[in-house]
Amino acid sequence: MPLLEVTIDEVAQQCLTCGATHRIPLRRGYAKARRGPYKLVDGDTLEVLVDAQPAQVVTLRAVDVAQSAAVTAHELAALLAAALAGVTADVNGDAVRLVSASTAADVTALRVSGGTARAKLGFDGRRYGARLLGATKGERTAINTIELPHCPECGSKECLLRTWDVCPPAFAASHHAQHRRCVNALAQHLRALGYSDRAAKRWHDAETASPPDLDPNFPPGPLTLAPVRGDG
Amino acid sequence: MSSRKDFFDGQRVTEGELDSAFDDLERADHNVVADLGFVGVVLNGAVSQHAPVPDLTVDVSGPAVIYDQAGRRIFFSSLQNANVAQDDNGVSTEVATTGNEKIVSVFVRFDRVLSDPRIDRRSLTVFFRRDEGFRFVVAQGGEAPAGAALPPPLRSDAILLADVTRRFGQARVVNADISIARRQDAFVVVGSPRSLRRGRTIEAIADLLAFLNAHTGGSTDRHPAGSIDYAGGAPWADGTPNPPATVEGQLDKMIADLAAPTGAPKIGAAATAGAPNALVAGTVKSQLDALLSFVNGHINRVAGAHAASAISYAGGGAWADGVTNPATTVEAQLDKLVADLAAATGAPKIGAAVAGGAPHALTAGSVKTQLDQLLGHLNGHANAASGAHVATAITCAAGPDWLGGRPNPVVSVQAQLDKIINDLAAQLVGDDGAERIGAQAVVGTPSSLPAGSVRSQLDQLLAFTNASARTNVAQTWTAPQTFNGAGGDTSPSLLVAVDPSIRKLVLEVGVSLRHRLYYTDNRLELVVNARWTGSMWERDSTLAFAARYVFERNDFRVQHVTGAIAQPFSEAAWEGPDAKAIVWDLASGLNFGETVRIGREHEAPGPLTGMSGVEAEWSPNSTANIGAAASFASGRLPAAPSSVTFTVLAESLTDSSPAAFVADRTGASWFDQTLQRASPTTKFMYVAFAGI
Repeated sequence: MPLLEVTIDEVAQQCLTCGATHRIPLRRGYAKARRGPYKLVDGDTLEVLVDAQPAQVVTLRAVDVAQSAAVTAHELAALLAAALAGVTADVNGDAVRLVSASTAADVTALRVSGGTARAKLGFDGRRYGARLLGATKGERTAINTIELPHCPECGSKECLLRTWDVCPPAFAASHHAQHRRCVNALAQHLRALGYSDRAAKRWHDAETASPPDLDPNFPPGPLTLAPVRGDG
Repeated sequence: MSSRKDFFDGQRVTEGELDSAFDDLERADHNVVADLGFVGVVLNGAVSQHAPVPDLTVDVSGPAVIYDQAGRRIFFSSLQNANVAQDDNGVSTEVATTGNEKIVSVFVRFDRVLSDPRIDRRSLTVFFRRDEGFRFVVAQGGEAPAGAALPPPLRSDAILLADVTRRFGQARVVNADISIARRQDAFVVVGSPRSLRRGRTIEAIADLLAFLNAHTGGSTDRHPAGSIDYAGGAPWADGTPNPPATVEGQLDKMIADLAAPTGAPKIGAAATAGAPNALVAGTVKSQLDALLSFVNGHINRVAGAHAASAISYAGGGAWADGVTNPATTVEAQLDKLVADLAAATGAPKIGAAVAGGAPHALTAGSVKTQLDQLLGHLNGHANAASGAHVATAITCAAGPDWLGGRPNPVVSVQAQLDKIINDLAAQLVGDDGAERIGAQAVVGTPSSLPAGSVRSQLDQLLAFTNASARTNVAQTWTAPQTFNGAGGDTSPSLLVAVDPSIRKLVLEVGVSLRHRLYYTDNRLELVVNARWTGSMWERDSTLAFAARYVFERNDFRVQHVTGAIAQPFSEAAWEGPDAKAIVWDLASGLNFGETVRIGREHEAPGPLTGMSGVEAEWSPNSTANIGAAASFASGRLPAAPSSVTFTVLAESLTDSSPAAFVADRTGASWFDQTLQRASPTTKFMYVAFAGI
């Protein structure tokens, strides 16, 4: 799922598997539903965990929407924005997006944990914190990996990888090389902001060099990249 | 007054006596009328075509009053109708012969209307009343050719009202057929210039008065001057008399007298005072002679007739340059003329007309403009780089002979130029222009040209050409050829004209399995063992397969067609079931900025895909990670991927969220957490991945 745009606040990503695009905040917890409209019934609920706060349950009422069997993303976003604390709700690509108000790297998180509407809306139930450089699974840590949320449309998951080798000059103008420079710049930006995986941080702190292929225009950017799923 | 009868008391009056009394009265009336001369139509009695539809009768207007020759009064009050189809004797008035006509006259005559019959003593019937009456009398003249018919004579007992002309086949009488030329009105007086035809006295008098008034007023009937007497008068100033004559004669004489050379002495002239000259009394002739003497004396003066300042100059047109010449004296104007023309601006003041000429002409303008034009022409001629003179006007001295001996004598430049052209254009065998032009020796390889004439070198070149390549003849070159072979030359060494829509064979090499280079539809095709017939492909050898290498903008293809394919085969067969092909797809297979390198492995910029999986048994309560690595299935990236996308295909007891662990240009590794189980458990995960 290559990047389309990188700013100091968020990245725009296109799923390499299904082509869906997502705008993902860098320093905030985030959860995204599938594309609407959504088929709901009166009284459907949604349980949301924001940061470290107790679960919030939202009950969706038919009177609050024009047609409960075809609730639009904008209708749902308005309802959730009004009902949830510590969260902003908006629409991205006809899908509802929830974003935590917190930017504390170890705290900010969003998880749509339950409710009768969760599966109907396509929330995968996972907890998504801020984008961190480094990923830890059990006792193993990948210090160059930036995990991105699963695509709510197809379930695929993209991992961005900081790279330390040098792309041959013959490919310098290729998307491959541009994407490498962009990801490396993003990774170094997260590292500089302290958005490192907890276990990876000691390695990051010990680093004395930067990846050789680095886009000098970020930050502040923005950086833009052509779609891979493009004209061919 | 009439004669009277004095009937007396006791007289026994007889019928004759009573009748005689009436006769006396009636005779007296008739005499009065006859004495006054009233005979004819006094009132109305006008004859016209019958209305409303004309026929062979005529209408006679009333009330009419007519007196006959005996003074008897004929009267009828209303419109009458008279039949002219037959005369008074009952004879038809019809014209018998075509082209003839006859005149039918309508008269009216006095008549008595008898009534009140009574029986006298002798038992005879007597009409007691004998009222005045009338009847129409129709008489016809003899038939004669048109215009020659005579009318019936006038009658002594009746009055003619009108003559009617009857023609052959006539069915009706119209007004044009009716004539009143002979009508007997009461007053018919024929004269000149005036005649008179009226019925009543007052009408006749009124007409006469009108004639008189018109004459007196001069509107009509004026007297000619020859009818008016001139009583004679005083003589002219020279004593010529003016005796009695008519006005016409005197007027003619006055004009003749005055128009003659002796006219002026006939007119007197009073004395006229003046200075320096005066006229004494005399005649017009004497004063004219005096005036002529004054004028001639003045005109004949050789000097001092007038001071120029005493003569007015009325002003005239402006000079050619627009300077005005306003009114002044002759003296001042003469001074101005000298001053104007003597100044440096004099020439522009004098106009100059168009002056024809060749090669130059002068346009209308002033002396100044034409002087400028002349100077321009002169300088232009002196400075002319060409066209200064016609060549015929310039002599050309004799020159050296042409190569070959033809002389060039003294002639004009024009003639010499013509001769040069003619000499050089000559095409005679053994005497053409080319032989007159020298040509140096030219060294070349393999052939050289010795010095000579153009003729001799052309002959040699023709010999070379006949032994060399020609564009419209098949050639067989026995030595290697070089086309535009200079190194670095940006022009093509060989150009082949093509129609992009029609496949063209550009090059053919080989004998049995021929190699051919085709061009069609913006691509090159190198074809082995196949020939394009214009619509199909045909192998040279049916024992071997055919191959084609296609170079086009979007891809490069290698195609083989099996040796078992039927002859001929179609274009589509190159990638059909009897063919195999490799296609390098640049159009849809790669993005711009991407390069695929093929060596021992393919090197592509991605995305490159792969698949990985692991399945194993985990010990009880283990949450150890699961992970694996795999290479990209289709080659390698130029450098390590910066993105790996995982799609979990199948898993058991994992977190189902693999993360990239390490990766390099050949592949990627992944890992994930597993879920705890109390018993030994098989856990697995299979993922597809794509790296870029």
